[in-house]
Amino acid sequence: MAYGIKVSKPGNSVFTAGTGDLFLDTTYPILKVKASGTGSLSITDGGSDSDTISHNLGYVPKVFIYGQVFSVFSGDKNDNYVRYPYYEESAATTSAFEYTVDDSDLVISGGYDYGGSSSNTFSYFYYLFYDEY
Amino acid sequence: MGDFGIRISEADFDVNTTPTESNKKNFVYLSDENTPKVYYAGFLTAADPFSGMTYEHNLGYVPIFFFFLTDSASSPTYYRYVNAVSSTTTITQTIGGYGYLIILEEGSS
Repeated sequence: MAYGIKVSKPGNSVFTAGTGDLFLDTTYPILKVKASGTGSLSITDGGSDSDTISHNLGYVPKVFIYGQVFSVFSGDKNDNYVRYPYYEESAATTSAFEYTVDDSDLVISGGYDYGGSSSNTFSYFYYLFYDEY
Repeated sequence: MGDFGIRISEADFDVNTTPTESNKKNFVYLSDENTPKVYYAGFLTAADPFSGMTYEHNLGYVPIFFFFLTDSASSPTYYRYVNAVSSTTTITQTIGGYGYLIILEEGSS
């Protein structure tokens, strides 16, 4: 016999409502936050930077990372946030902000090559969950 | 006063097992762990495909969000993930006629 919790939206019977009419349905896993935080990558044109966040869960967890990027189309840092990974390429210019996650570490990295000498600091935030990838 | 809360485990995992860092993935729900909450989920419509779509969340921080381009705001036949951008007040997608936005009320900038 299955056990769990269902909470339906107003006007819907919790016994018959479809998934879209339920506020909560523990038939499905709910993301559980293990850790979140912020950081920044300091990058000079042609170079890269990375940060390592250890989680030591022993398995690969789900993660979300959002941060600022360098746009090769505008030739400047974008102060708004996008979801990583993020890649741009135009002619001989490239920009890459990405991450890898394994059973012990989340590594957030970025770099750009615009053929200049600018230096920028790119802020990011991450969420790391107990839920397995 | 004792601890109170809700634990729901996955099938074939004993719910009475004390949650640890290594086994919390085996629980569907643990009420003493933070979970993302849906702040907004809905369709956006642009005035034209090149005018952009903007949603003002005014959360004061950049939230977790997912933006999908669609072909309709009422009966979409596809959802395609795109990398929209967010500030601490708005989420913007520059190209597309219709979009579907999900914002989770967590995050920081």
